[in-house]
Amino acid sequence: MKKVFIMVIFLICLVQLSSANLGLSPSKKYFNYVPGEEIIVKYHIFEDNPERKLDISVEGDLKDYVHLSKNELTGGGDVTVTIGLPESVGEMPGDNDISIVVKQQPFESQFIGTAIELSSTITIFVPYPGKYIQAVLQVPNGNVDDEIPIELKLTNRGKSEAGVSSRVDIKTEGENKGSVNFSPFILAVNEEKTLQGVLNTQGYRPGDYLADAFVNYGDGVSNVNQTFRIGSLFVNVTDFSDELSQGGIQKFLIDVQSLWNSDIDDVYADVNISNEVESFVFRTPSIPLNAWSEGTLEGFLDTSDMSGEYETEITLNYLGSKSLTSGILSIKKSSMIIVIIVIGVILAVILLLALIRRKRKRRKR
Amino acid sequence: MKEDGLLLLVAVIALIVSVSSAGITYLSFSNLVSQITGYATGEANLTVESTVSINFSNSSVNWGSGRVNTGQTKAYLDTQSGTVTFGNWTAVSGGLVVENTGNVNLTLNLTGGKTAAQFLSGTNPAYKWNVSNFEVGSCLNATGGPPLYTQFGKFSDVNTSTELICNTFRFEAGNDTILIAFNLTVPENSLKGALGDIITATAFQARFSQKYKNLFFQVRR
Repeated sequence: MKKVFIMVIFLICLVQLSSANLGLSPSKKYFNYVPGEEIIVKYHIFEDNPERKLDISVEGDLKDYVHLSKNELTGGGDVTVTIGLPESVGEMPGDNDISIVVKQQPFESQFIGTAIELSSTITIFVPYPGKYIQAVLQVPNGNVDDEIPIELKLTNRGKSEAGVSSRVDIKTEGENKGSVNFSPFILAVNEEKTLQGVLNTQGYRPGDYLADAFVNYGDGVSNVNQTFRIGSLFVNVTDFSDELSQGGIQKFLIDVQSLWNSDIDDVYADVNISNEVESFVFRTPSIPLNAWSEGTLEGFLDTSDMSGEYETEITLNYLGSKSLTSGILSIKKSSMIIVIIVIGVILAVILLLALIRRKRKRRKR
Repeated sequence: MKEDGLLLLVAVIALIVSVSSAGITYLSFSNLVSQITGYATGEANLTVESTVSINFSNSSVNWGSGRVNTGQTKAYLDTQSGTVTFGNWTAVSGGLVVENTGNVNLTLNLTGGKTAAQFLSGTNPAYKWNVSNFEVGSCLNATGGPPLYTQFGKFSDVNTSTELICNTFRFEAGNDTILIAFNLTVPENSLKGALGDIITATAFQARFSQKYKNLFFQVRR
């Protein structure tokens, strides 16, 4: 019992030594610059080894204005970061990042050991001089004869309020297909507003489009764009079997691709394989297709009594619609049969030569 | 006759009592509901703080003590195949297992402490690492595709400069672990004694989780 107890303790120690964990929270903080303001952030550090020494440091922009309550810890613990923002930051508009870095001091190890270094980012946003509007555009994929939501998120990152007027142009192959216009409004400093519009795709053809947003705010123009797709209810046959071996039940495969922006639960194919003499018809089991995804339909064909070339006609069925494709299917004698025949001929030749040699030896005697 | 009348009377009384009870119960319930909705409502707020956290579930690779076999000029130690060739060190399988145990995606860099010459010395030593997904899809680029690190999944010399491995090192359980395997070539005239190196994993919250391609231009007047 004592031996078992000691062994268990030994194994626990081994397990403890073979892992290393370090955590730091929060991982990210964001503040707007206010001249002379004091920002305090409390960090918690997780370290699973209570004897592991950790170094704590500051890097990046504005690091000279940062004070740490501790530069070193043993095991886990808390650290308070205090940032005393200056009255002026000069020419540093935009995001200014400060990194709080925690690093394990490595143990001496034989062969290969590890050390973990984590950093958390504090971002101080300094407003741009004058007027400055930041824009983010979101347009999801859709279908023809559909309504696609358009979202344009605007944030005033300048030092003055701004009168904003914006629109989103819809383009394809360089051609402007339409526009979504938004009413003008005033955006205060640090204020954020999300404009929502709808693109009606009636009359649009399926394909790739570009949503091009222009935001005019007096001192300048923000331009942001994003590609999106308009789908149609169409499943395309991208490939199918064009050669099968003769003999037995063979798999007939059809690769398909959906150009529809919604899921289709059942896609199946009716296949007609024929020549001047005979015709074979079969239906594949159905498969589901997610939006814009690819899949493979599997059918089965008995090629025992087939040979030569046949015309293939494939009719895809989905949501009450059909797609048609045609091609040629060749039925070839199984290569295995040819191999067996060749081996048989070789063996026969070897046997024959052996017999002839034996006869000659007997004659000599 | 008398008994029939008595039975009828009992049935009627039972009916009246049942209906009354149902009515009283209904009225009491309505009163209870109005009493409850009359109380003041409150709010429950919860803030979940973001955490960057890395765990080496296997944090050291130790082949123990050994030597190059007599008559051989080199020994090969490989944790991916779990073999030691032309040497008598104890074979080690796998390597360093790194898991994102936080609740945000991370950007992960790796840095080796020594080159092969510094670690082993001798004639043509080799010290290589192979970083790969231990769990499928753990390590991605900024837009969700395969990692940009060109040597991902292949053996390459351990880099003593910071090497960007994953723009996006995922945190979801089942897709949050990578493996660092090692391959060493130890020449017979290598350094002797206890040899060691430290692999440093550096991580911070991934900056980009772009779902849409956003191209941003600014024109100032």
